[in-house]
Amino acid sequence: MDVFRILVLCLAMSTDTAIAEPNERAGRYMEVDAYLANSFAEMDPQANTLWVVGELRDSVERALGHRLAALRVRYWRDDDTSVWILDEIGKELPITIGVTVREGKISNVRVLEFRESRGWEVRYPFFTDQFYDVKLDSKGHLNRKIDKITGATLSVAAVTRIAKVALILDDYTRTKD
Amino acid sequence: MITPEPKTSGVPENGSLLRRCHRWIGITVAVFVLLLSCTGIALNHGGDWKLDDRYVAAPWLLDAYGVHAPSEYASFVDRESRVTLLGQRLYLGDREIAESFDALTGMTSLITLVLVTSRDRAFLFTADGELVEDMDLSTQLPGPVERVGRAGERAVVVSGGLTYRTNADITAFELWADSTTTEVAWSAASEGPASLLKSLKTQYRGRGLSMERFIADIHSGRVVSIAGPFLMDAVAILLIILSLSGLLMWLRPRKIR
Repeated sequence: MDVFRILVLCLAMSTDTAIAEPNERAGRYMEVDAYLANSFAEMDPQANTLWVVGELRDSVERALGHRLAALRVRYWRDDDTSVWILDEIGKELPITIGVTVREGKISNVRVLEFRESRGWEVRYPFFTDQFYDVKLDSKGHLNRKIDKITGATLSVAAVTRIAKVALILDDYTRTKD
Repeated sequence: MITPEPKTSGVPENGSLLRRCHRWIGITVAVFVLLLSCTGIALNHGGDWKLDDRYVAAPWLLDAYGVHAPSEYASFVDRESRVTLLGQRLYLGDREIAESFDALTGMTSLITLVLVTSRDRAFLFTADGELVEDMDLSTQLPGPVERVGRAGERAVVVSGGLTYRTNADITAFELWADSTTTEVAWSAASEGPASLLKSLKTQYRGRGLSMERFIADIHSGRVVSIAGPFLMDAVAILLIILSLSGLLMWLRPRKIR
């Protein structure tokens, strides 16, 4: 009887895996314009550009753990709120991530586009909500530990890196602007 | 005086079948065990050793893997800058600047910057080939980029039959309603110099087989065609037999004692 139960359980698990094809979960979940509209409810801010060079580039590359691909990044700002749309590679392909920073703290993180076959679970609020109110501590690290997701370690790391980079860039532009 | 020989009843002799099998299997799989161990260690540390960023250079190995540069290419030149797309790799002069570029529709050279377009993206590079920005044009243009040029020091593209021009900072394309095509120096595909093409094809081929893939293929046996994995399966079976025969040899004398 126990053997029968185990067989039924194995069958159920294999069916579930077959239905949940990983590739079906990748895709573009939200357009940049829609994300901006969510972040800036009452205005249509113009895009600014920031040249990431010198010490700023060093800080960003330290946070990323690798070279920043582009010299210039685009951002949107209204008073104390800034929005950053950045790409970061999880395993092999870039994940497009939107980060909203308000008064130096993250108010929203959203995965806008996921291109890889695994790790798409980072799109869900149970993961992204962890970033709410997170800021940089005195050592330049996130002040809260972000829990990982089994099977999505690289994607979790990519989103966490981008959250940190967005805080660094926001801090720089707030001082500069 | 004759000393009686000690009794050896039940204890396997050195030449027993089991021991001989164990010895020969051990010798046979030793090379493979070394190979699997070394390649396994290398793959475990592939990220640290940047094996995916190192490439096999031996021409005979590249030939064996069928790594060849494509014969077709697209190349555009403006002022002193030439951009060439070979396969999906994009080169500025002889420097690779992008590795998964889908379709080159044109380029233009703007003083210190070079703007390169695919159907729905524009890539701005420094004259040295450093990426400044990757711009999504799908939200700015009505369709794919059809033509690229420059008017003064501003990039111009044609999309959906309309002409668009970049703003002064080259951050966005704006409809250029009063344009006259005579003002625009349009980019056109042209053949690159033979020496440059030869150099690009050599580079392309040299980046075709990463060390990580090569070591993974040795590890799995795929390096010696489709028979390789079966050979590795046989080695795995021999290792199982080796473990069992060793265990048996260890158990049998103990039982007798």
